[in-house]
Amino acid sequence: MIEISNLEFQYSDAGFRLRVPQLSISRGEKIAIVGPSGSGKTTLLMLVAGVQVAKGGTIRVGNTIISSLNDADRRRFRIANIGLVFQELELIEYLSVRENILLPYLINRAMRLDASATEAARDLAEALGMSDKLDRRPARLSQGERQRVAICRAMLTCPDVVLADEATGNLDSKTANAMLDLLLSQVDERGATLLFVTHDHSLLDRFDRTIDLAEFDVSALVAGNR
Amino acid sequence: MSGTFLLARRYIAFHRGRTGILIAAIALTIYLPMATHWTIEQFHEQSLKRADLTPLIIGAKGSRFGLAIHGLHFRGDVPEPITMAEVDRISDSKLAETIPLFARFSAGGFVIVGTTAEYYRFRGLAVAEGASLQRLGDCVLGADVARKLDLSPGHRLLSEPENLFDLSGPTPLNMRVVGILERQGTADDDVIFTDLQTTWIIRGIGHGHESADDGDHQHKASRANLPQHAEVTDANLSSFHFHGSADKFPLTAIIALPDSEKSETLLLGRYISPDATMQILKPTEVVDELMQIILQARKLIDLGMLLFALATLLLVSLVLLLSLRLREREMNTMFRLGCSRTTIFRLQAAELAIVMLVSVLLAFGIAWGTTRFLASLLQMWIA
Repeated sequence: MIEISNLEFQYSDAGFRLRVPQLSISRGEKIAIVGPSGSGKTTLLMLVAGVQVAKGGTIRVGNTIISSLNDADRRRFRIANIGLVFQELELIEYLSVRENILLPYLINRAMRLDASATEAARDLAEALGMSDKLDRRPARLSQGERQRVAICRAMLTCPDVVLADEATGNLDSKTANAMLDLLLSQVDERGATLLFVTHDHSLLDRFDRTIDLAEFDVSALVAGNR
Repeated sequence: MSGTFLLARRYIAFHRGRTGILIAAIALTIYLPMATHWTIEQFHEQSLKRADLTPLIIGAKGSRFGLAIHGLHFRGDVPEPITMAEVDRISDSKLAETIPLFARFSAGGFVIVGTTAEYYRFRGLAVAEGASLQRLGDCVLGADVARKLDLSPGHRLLSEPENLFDLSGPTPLNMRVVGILERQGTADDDVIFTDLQTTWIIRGIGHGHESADDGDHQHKASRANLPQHAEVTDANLSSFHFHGSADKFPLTAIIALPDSEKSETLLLGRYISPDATMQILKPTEVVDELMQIILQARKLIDLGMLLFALATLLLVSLVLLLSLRLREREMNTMFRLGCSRTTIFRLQAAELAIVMLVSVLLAFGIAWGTTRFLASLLQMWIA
């Protein structure tokens, strides 16, 4: 599903360099990514998502070589095929829960906001127990409810790949497990591939595989403070 | 509705407080020059329209602007009096029809205009309620006077003395309101009309008292002992009388209506002499001169407005820049989800466009509403 070979990335201001000689992830695999702060976990996710562009090497997601796409194509590919869950959830405060879930359809004209999308958002919210809060704003939700909205937003387009960047980072163990339960169940249901960045080693046994950026297949040279 | 527009609308609705302040600031910046421009234009138009319809005004020598404003709008300082003899002189010359005006006194805070029936025909004034003047002591009210003083036919209205401390002065006259004029949208709405004789009674030139049959009519001696009538009634109407020669009775202005251009030129020529105690003027010329002064002042106002607009523009730019910084994280989230920089720019532009549109509409609406009132306020200010 995801093939990375000879990946090289360096920020323009230097000080940080990431090298991934080879990494293969199968369809439906659930991967935990760990590593010390500044080892490039988030950067790796952003490279897979096509938000960042590698200096060298290739990243293939499914049949698409991300690293060969131009900006617009990468965005189109990302919004249709990749679900993103952020550490701070990053819900938009002035939108309702429904509109937050539908956000990918509101910000890219490649996505057609029609009745089926609205219905999918409602079904997803219902599956995650949020159907009665669709018209609320994020500020009026509990932390657990906000997480569910973020998962709904990531899953709405039925992505092939879900990238979660320390999505349980600010949560206690119980809440983190509950969120992970929800995410894994949604990923399993859709047969998607999950890359889950975490610092919490107690969660690692929930994944098929763990990639430690410091010790495993991926090597990162840490010279800066990223 | 496009996603961009929906997002922009939601953002504005969510931050309605701060957006409201921004809209108010922009609307005010647009409104002020617009309202000023419209008001001056409207005032110019109204003044010219009334001036155009008034060929010539004759009055005592003095301020041209003062006489024009008095003759057209009955406002400002009352010109020095001229006499009825001038009306006779012009009538005898057959160069123009004359409409004498005596507008020196007031009642209820509104100017009392004594004139003849020709004035009503000349200005196209018609009675909307009640009747026209029937006898001495009657008055008809302009539409605004009736509304503001809450008067209707049958009510009475007491003239105000010129000097409160002059106890020997003429007795205020309690006039009978017999009619209300149709609204004209001109200075005629703001005055009280009566006949010349009634204003001369208010002036003290004529009066009525109990003992009209006093032989040689030694008023100077008997005035103190004879109570004067403070109002005209059917019973005492015949006791009212005037003293002195009618051609010496005062006027404050005369509107002259020459029958031809030649007559107008001849009439104008009669007042050219440097020794003349009276002046004649074409109201259109004076109003144009006045407007030139106002337009000069407007240039300064425009400059001030321009600086004000520039300051607002800079402040709005600062607010937008700060807003962009505050929303950097939100924009970054959108970008990471798959939103293009162009769409983010479009989103910001849509928000700004909505704010600008609402501001402009608000400014237009308020400017339209206030211009109508400001025009009359400006007239008063100039007067």
